Amino acid sequence: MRGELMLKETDVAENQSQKSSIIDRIWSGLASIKLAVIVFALISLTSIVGTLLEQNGDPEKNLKVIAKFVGTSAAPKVFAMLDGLGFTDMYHAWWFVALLYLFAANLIVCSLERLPNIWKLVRQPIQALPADRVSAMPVRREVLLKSDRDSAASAVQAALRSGGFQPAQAETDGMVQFYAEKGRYSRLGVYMTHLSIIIILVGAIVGMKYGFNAHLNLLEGTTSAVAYFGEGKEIPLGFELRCDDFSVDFYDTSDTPKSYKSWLTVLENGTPVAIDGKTTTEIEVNRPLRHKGVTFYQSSYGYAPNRDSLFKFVLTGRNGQKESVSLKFGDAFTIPGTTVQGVVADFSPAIAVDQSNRLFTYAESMNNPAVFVEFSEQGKPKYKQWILKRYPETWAFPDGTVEFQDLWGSQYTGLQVRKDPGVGIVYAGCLLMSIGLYIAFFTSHARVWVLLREERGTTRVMIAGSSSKNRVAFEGNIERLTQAMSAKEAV
Amino acid sequence: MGTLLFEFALTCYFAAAIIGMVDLIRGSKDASKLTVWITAVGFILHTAAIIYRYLSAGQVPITSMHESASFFAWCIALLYLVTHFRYRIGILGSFILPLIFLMMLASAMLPREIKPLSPALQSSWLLIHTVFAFLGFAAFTVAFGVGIMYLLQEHYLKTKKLSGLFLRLPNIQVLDEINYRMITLGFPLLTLAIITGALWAEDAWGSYWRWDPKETWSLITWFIYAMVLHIRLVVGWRGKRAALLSVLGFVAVLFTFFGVNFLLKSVHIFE
Repeated sequence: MRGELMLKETDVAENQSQKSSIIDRIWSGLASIKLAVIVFALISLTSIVGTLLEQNGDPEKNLKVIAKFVGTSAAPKVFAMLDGLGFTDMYHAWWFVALLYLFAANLIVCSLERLPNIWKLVRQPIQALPADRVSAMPVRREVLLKSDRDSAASAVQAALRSGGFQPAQAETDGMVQFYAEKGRYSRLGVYMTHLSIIIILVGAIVGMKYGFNAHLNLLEGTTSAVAYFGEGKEIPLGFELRCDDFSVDFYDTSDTPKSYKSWLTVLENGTPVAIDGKTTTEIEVNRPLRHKGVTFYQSSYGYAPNRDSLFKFVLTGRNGQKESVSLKFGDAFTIPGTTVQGVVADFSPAIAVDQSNRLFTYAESMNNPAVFVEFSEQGKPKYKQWILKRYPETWAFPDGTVEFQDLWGSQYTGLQVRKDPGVGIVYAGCLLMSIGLYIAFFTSHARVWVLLREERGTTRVMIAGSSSKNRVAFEGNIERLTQAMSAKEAV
Repeated sequence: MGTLLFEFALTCYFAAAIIGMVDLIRGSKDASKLTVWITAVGFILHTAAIIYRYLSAGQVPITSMHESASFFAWCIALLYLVTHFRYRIGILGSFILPLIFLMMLASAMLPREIKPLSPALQSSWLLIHTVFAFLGFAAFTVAFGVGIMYLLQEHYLKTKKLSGLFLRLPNIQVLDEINYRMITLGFPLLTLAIITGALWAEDAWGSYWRWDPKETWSLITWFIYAMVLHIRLVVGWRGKRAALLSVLGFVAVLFTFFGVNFLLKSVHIFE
């Protein structure tokens, strides 16, 4: 069964602790699986506290959470204690980081301690065994084949081959013996998995040491060469980033956002740089922009109206003539093919009607933007109307249509800006871990020995073997091999 | 139609759970068989309900708590049936069916409307990540049921009550073996769920790991099952300790799924 070999090695590790040298003692302590189990438990238990308390959060809220567990009177004391121990930012607390290092050290030493023996097992090919050792194997079957030794031998070989084994032959104790193995490398799966964890931790450390995590709010039409982290500390990007446009789409008439999109341009020395063949890159949640190791994620957005914001309209005259215009508040436009002029007189980022039919603004973001346009012809007022971006039925007029597209320059895109040179390492570790776990749990090192003994024209065949794991399945495999031998012989 | 299929599946699971309980108390081969077949019928109806919802919503039906709990129940039913037909343990249903039914009941009580996908969920990772996660959780659920059976059986052995239920429960080595198989299935699946979640988070939230409660709780769960796997290597620590830990692990699974969403503040909550 799995771990039969491991157990012996654990004993070895445990025995070593009797040696006196301190380094030896630390080494054998770190080589202990018991320590591993304790470290797992400690990481889990402390992490639980870390999820109950809001990390870097509002002390008042955390006090309330603690009060639920220990009562209001004791809460401040407990909070002060937990805060002092770093539980309010525990994943960065020295002791939690130390715990992770202990975890890594334990993992490395445990693996190094056991790998040489496993490696020997993987490198040494299977060998013929004396008959008494074969018959002492944990899994055994016997079958009587009704033919002489030579034809029985070929049936055995054929059965082993069809079972995925490449049998070798030997003569021991006057008997023919076939022996074979498969999945030798399965024994390395555990160590691949262990190695992958170390690789992931290294990737995480590289990311923390050489990367940054910052944010940047960029108003439509503006450019920045830096991002910000902490309380307004600047990080140079190494290039400039411009936000060309931002827009939110909603589901139907609801306020449930369907997508947030930003159109960004990277500039180097003032000139736009093409990324994937285009100078303007459209980003949204799940589709960030990457340039020179820096990644820009769509994370939020906001509304900041200002004097320079431009109202964008598409005007269509009755004759079908189209024209796009951008103008500031108070500027006039003319519907193509007419002398009808419109002036923007009011704006609401999120217009709604209350029960008494009064208009009001229900949100401080552009959820339902609307402009109030007053039309006149040759100085005489003609009509006036609210035009809503999301409702085309409000665009129609006797003299044409006025489609309100955007108040450009009034929204900013909230970008998360991140540089993490460790990501590739972490991903490589994840890949190795997936492969390692597959090998460790879904493959096994199977070894079989088959003894043939002729008995008056018939041949007694003993099949025995061992598997590094999953004995039940292995017993089934041996059973199938046995049946295959009888079947091959019958042919 | 979708609702009807769902309700029928729920009813089947309920009936199977009741028969399973009766089987546990009374003990009869026929009851065990009935449990399996009613579960199988429920599972087919449930599958149809999920497909129907997928077709009518036009999106992977694992986005709300209602849908997730239902899919969780579906995964447990799937693994239960597979385990049953592989190991042929009639009494297993008595321990797993109540869990399937309760999960389905939880789903039934949660708001059922189909919500449009928030931008973060619009990704092909949605299907891969959730399937890995819930199949893993389901394997841990079966491990939990088998762990309970192990602890019961061990209790009977210790108190020398060698009759009744004792005779109908499989022997302790078989239970230990199934428990181990389920954890060696659940552990890689949970690992893949965490990895795909990290890849997704890297694109959607700008970081593959940020100690969000959902991430942290899945890591806690991962460590508990890592403990189960390693505890077996320590002389004399296998068996009971592994069974106890797979019970504890299941509590962590439930908290990772329900607790984080209902009690903690996480970016992983989409409702």
